[in-house]
Amino acid sequence: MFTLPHLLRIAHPAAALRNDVQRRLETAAPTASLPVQVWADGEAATVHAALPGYTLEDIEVEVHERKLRLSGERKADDERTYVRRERFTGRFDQRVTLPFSVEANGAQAHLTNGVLEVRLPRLESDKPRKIAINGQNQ
Amino acid sequence: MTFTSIQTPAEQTHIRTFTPRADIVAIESGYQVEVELPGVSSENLSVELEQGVLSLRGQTSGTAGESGEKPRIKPIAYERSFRLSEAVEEERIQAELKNGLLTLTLPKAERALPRQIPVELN
Repeated sequence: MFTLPHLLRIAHPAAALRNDVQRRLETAAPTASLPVQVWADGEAATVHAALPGYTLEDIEVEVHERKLRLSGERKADDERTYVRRERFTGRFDQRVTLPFSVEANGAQAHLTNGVLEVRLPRLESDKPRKIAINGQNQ
Repeated sequence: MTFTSIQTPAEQTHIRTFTPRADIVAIESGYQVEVELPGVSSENLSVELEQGVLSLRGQTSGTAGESGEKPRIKPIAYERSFRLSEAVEEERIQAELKNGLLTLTLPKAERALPRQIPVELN
């Protein structure tokens, strides 16, 4: 069963190209460009984001419960004459879901060699706790 | 700034290698190339020039992952080569690594730059 956009592609190749470009522009999100890795053990979560050439002033780190938000901007210098342009410019806004809630006060962030490392200790109340078998909860 | 070579070929085969993103900008005196090398420090970066080809190879250090501290992170490598035009004055190429960004400054040779010829009046 063909959907209408599919019919458009077949009937009008030019329209198909325009629709495709339009769709890509609309769905393209700056978050796609920020490579982020997350590790966790029982005690803490560690997040790495590659931000080469960025300084601390360019980056914002926010933490709330199980969400980490990395945002910032690298402005393009329109005065420059680019022979080749591959690096990402503009705003990035990446949200990362962590495996557990974290203690915002104990969070540490370092920027070293263009890698942002954020270490987030697990929220004490979110850690697993033993329940006494005789039925008394803590 | 000195660059040391990093790995023997045998060790290189175990490391994932990526092509880093680079911007090339024309400046008044030549070109500037900015290469993204996140996680690479200067002792793990080599920049070599041979027969007009500028090659770079950088490697992140990774971590062993002792429990309670950093997770185990595998090192990765970045490699890229640029063919330079003959107008580039090779002896004056400069390289600076800062915040994981390598900036290569490639000056054009004197004779390739536009110059004013003074006109004498008699």
